[in-house]
Amino acid sequence: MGKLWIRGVSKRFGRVLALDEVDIRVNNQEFFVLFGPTGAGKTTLLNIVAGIHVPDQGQVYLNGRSIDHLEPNERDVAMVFENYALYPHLNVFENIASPLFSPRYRKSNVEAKEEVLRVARLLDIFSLLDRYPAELSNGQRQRVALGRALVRRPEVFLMDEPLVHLDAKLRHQMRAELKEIQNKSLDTTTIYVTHDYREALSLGDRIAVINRGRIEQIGSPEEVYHRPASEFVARAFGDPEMNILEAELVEDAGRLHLNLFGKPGHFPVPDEVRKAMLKHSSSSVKVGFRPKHIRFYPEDPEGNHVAARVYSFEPLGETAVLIAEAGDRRIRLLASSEHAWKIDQPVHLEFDMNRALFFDASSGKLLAPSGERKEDVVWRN
Amino acid sequence: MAELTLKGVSKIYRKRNREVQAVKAFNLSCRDGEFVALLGPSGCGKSTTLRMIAGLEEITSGEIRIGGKKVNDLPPKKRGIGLAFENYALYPPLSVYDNIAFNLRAQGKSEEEIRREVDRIAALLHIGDLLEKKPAALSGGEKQRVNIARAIIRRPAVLLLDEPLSHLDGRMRQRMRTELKRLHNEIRCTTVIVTHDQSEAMALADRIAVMNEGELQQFGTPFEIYRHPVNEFVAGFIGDPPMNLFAVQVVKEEETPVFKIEGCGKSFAVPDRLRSVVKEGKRYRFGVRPTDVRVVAPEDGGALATRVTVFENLGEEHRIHIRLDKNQMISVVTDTDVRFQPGDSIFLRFDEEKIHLFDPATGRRIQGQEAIPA
Repeated sequence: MGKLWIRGVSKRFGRVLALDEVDIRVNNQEFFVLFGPTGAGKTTLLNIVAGIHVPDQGQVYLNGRSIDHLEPNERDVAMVFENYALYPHLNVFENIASPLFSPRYRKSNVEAKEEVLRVARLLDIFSLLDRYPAELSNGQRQRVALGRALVRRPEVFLMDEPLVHLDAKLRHQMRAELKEIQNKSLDTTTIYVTHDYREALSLGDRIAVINRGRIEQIGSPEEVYHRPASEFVARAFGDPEMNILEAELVEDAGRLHLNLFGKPGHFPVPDEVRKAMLKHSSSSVKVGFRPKHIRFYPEDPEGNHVAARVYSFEPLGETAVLIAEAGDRRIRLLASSEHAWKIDQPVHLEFDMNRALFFDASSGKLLAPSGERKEDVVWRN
Repeated sequence: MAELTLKGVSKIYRKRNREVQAVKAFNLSCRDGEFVALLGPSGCGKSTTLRMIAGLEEITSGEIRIGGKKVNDLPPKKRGIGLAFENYALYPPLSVYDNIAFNLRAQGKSEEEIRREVDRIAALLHIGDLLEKKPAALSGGEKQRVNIARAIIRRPAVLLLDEPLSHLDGRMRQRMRTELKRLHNEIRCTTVIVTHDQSEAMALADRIAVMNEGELQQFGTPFEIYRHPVNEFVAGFIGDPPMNLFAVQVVKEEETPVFKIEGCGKSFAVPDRLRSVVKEGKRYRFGVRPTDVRVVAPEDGGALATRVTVFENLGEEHRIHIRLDKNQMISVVTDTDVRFQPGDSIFLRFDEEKIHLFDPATGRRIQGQEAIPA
């Protein structure tokens, strides 16, 4: 059992408020992701759970009992670090067994052996026990490092950006490997820190998005991706980044339109959104479109679309990022790399209003998404 | 504005009485105004090559020409190059304006002329409102803009950029990438960028020179290198997520030739297009990009029948991973709404126009497999 409650935790370093009344309840066996940019407070929070930092305010409860007074080595938590640092001069068996001989555990050789074998079976590394770290693939090293944390039978696993130092290719592969272990054998409650939105979406049962020490949103991957609570969350998930544009609401003969490029009438606000929007006191809003929800054409014979020009065209393999400039706004689009667009060439944009997200212009909070979409609800991971 | 050519350029270092060949008989020819990327993993010789072009490193053998003129023996100042490195090396006590103006002052230009030039460059790089600030007050992205402004203000014949974006983090890096592309379009100066980031090279360059272990592997447009990698190294280095590469052997099953995957024993039909290319009994390295694998119906003959190991929903796309054996998985990228659970049975077909076969011994691309252009 590993049920964790981080209750109203604040932490200040000098003049910087690193954590501001953070409240998170992590369920037993949950894989919980702390996601945010560098300096958001993720690692500080993890260190408070581990007992490395003491909070200025707030408590941490494990299975309903406060652990604030416990030393790091007395808490039933195990930290897995970046790089999975293994002892190079010890073989896999000895690496996994190493925590068991610490003063806290001091297991007998027989017990230790049993425990290592149990973990090795779980992680499918039985055949590697005699090898040294240098003889292992990256995926195998990852398993060994997890094994070393697992032998302690912790209530909670803490992982601080374990994949951060890998290049994009290895990260793709190692994330898959980690998820495979997670599927097969990892039922220990885990808190996983990352600034990589793909890791958060792929691995997390739930995600807490942290920005400047405050929680922006706690939700499932589906919720943070499709119903981001704020502009910050919306921008943080997705690549290329979501386009968020300032716009004015215009009411015309009982119908609500969006003035986006000085062309009211071209952007009718969908009915589902209307109700939420009418309650909004100000006429200015921010509207967000993911790059793939904006269509674009080289020509516009009927004059229905927004005229822009190509600011840059950046092929990335299968796809390309096309950045269009309309007035003084840059809009990121997802294009095929098969057809090259020339810089300054005209491009005509069609915004899918049914996929738009609406945010409060001043607070950045979500006002309304464009209705519930069936396929979003069955997000399965 | 000039052409840049490297002919048989080599660099040999002496290290503890042993010769280390950092760059081996390197040939490259950049057209006037072209944007070329030197791309490769760390230690491949790309930075050494750039430093030889800049005159910061002696050339062991070979010839470098800028605008037709041999520059081997010219000091850096006389080569007509502009340089911007990964670390910004701005003068901390000087304002941004004075940092940019520094080289023009050294040339003895009038203050009026300098003001005109600095304003022109500042407008190009969108740093007009930073000119009075000191470097310490700038963000990483702003510093790099000033750094590049300083490199281009003397209107160099060739602009050399050594990992200019690698200090910047994610979003800022993408923004600067776009600005760099835009800038090149404005000034049309022959530009060589060194990078280890394949997406940066693809996004920016007209042509990419892929290097490994001191040797040029391939020189071509981003599209050529992505679609027709000449060897397994280039195939694996270019593309994100990376190309699936695994060992196969051609065998006959029920009278039809199939690729049998080594290590897992599974097989799938040799596509018609490749039947005349492959030989029965021979082994190959089989490559296919995750975006060139289709999930098909069970009755689709010749497909690879297997099971899902991992399914990832990444918002804009899904990735499916299938474990082949203890050491390798293959990955599939889809943007359809079909979702899977680990253990689900799945049938895969590799887009036959986009299969890459390599020689297991040399790593070279097998000849005769080129697709008919669509």
